[in-house]
Amino acid sequence: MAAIPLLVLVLALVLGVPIAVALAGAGMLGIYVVTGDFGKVMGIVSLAPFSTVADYALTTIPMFILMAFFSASSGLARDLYTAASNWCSHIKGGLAIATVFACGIFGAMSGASTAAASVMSKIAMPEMRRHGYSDELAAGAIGIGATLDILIPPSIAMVIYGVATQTSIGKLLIAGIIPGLIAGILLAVMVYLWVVISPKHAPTTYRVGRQERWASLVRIWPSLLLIFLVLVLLYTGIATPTEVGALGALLAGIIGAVFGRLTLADALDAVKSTIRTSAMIFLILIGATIFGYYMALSRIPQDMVSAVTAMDLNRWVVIIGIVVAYFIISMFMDEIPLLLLTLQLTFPLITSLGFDPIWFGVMSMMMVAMGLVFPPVGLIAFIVSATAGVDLMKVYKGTSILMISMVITTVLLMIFPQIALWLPATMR
Amino acid sequence: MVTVLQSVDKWLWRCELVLVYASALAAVVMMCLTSADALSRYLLNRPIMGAYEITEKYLMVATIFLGLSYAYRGGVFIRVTFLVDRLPTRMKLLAQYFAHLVSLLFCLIILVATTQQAVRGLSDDTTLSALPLLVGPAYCLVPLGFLSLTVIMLIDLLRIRSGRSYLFREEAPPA
Repeated sequence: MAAIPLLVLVLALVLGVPIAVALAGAGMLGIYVVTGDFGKVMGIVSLAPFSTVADYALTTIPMFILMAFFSASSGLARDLYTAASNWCSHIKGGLAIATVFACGIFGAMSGASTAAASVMSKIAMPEMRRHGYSDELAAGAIGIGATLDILIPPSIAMVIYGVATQTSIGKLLIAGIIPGLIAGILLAVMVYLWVVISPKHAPTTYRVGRQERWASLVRIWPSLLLIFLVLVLLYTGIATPTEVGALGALLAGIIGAVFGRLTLADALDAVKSTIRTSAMIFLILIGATIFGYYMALSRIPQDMVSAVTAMDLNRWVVIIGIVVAYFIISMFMDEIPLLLLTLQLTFPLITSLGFDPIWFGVMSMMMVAMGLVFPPVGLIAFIVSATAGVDLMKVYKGTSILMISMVITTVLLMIFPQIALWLPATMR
Repeated sequence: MVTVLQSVDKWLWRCELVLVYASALAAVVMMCLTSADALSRYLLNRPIMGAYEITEKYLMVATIFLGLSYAYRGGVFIRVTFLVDRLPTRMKLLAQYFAHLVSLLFCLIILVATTQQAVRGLSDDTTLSALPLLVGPAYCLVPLGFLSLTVIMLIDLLRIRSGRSYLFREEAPPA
């Protein structure tokens, strides 16, 4: 009986009911089923919206989003791509490699993979097409490159994971750096190998003069400095993630304004976009909070942990099962609802099996990143296809080949958890 | 009927603009206040009194809830559309009406529940711990946001058949 709301949740999601509403609705039904008291349902619902939003730690989300929109409105993505392509254009597949690096650095200022996919499709795709790059390689590099943003701080998905699991947000954000770098480097190597094996995918290379190369760096140095500052503040713990978010947004706005790239109208648009995106995330958070009450009252997570423990399975079998489930669900769903939907069940299980919460956070991000570009849905693949005007099957072909780099990074993470855990362990 | 609806929609849009600008102001103030508090604490060893609580109880709540109806026009509700998109037109329309009515019911329940909480909050004399500022009024921001969202969703119900419902839309119109 207590599991009926879970079925209602799945049914509502399949019928296209908004995720926030489905979570809240199933949660309300669940609370009523467990307690049999409608007054209790209304009591929880009356407090949940305020108590969910009025949380100082959660101000990190709108602040990081504001930082991203200020940076995007300042034309950072184009400058980053220009600089990266100027430095990589003489390498085989150089423009695709430049796209990967630009996505990675843009991710260090945005934290939302969908934004990177949309922006880079508009900027990098025409350039790569102009130089004869195949749609498969170009769209694949943009799609997979954009997913790096989930790993590289400030990642909104990491913040959500930290909030949902009560794990240190600062440590989680820092934990994504090395896996993100490894994934980025492996991705660049994969692009190079693909072009070496099949040169028709990127037939031309060209060299840009030294003066022009350095000039392109001059345009991005303030933003690089801001990224460095954000990472240093997070790593040293001098400021909390919330303060880092607010300072980062303020500095991104100041840099844009000082260099004449961010007008008042742009800034207002950025703030409005922040409100829209934040409202979207927080509505799901409110739904997840109500659903969380049902979970706690029904004791379903505890029962599930007991059931899995009773099976006496090898803990690696369990984690591989969870990883595969995440990968499959992320083909159909964005990273934030996915995390809020599943963590209430998977996190108690993971911790009971003795896995590190930070390591699992990074692993979850890797799975979500891959699912976002994998058929049959893959949200990022859709965005690249629609924005760049590339056939969806070509996007899938490109992302599926380049995904090998992500698979290798995931396997490395499973064999050597220290890849994710070393840097957070050195934090104060 | 159409003219009445259009004028209601226009009036509602103006109200939304007021709310969204209040929300934008709250977001900017939150950014400046948190930054100033951090700098003041680390450089001068003197935190700004009440910054933490004002950010948490007022600014954050205003940023999120006052912008709800504006965000709704831009597709604030994320949905899983994998199956629905593959349904025949008639079935898809039915599924959209179902999703819309369920969402509307959700907003109404939240509106009623949070209004009750706001009334309780207003009759409570609890203040912020660092400043003599009442917490109660902050609770009113929640039903205010959900009221505007509920009204726009009610009007939006009439747009589903023509395919212009904001609930199933991706991009926000320029303000």
